[in-house]
Amino acid sequence: MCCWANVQGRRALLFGDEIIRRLPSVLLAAACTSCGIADGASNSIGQASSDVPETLSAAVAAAQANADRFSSGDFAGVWERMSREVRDGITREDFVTFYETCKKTGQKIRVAGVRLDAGDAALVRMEVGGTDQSRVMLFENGNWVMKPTRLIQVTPNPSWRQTLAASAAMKPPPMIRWDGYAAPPSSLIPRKVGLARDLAQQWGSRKGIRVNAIAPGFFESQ
Amino acid sequence: MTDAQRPDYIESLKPRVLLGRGADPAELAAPLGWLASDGGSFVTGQTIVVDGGVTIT
Repeated sequence: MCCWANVQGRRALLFGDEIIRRLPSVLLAAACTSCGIADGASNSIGQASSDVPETLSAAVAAAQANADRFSSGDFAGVWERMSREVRDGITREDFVTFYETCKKTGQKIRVAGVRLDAGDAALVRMEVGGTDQSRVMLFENGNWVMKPTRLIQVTPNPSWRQTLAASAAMKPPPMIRWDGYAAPPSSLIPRKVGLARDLAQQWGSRKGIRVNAIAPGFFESQ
Repeated sequence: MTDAQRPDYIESLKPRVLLGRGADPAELAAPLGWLASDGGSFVTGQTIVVDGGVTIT
């Protein structure tokens, strides 16, 4: 699961990535930086490391350093090295509270490659638990910082105390413009139900956070 | 899938939806908003299915 927090946990929603993308009025987002240990890095995808510009090596090093911070529980340090949109969107205290609540440290992450995505962005590929994931590093104010995988933020009702978690929902490959998280319902719905219940029990008892899920059907996305 | 194929694929999905259409994102926002509001303050560990009836057909 890919998750993140805005706020100060009492209530949680759990929903699919695409919904978040289309609901800018609903708060939150996902700075989904997996916790774990970066145990090594090559500097390129499909090219010799000596050909990689030095700045890309710096991006890899920054990504690895952030992974190390996650693994050691230095979430405040992670917050300081997230992109500005994160730091503007959530306080360091709330960021730390969320990750202390929902992140498990120790997952092994191998930074496996990088490529320049734009003049000020680099795509870093990571191997996490046997699967490939990617993170975008941004060059801000002379430093490589990590961009959240998703970030939608609106100022919520100040009385709300909620956390939203974005599930990495399954999506059939051909469904490009339309997303069908309810398909196949036979496997997806039970997963969401189980996840919502598990998290409600874990977070509810420990942190007083409520967790609920939305299982959407077909809807048009961009 | 090509752009030309996509409309056919979307049409093929509609019979699976009891209401016969896909959702507008705003139709997902309403239950989300309720869960996040004070009205949903005593709801936890639940999954609300907003799928136009896909899972009951």
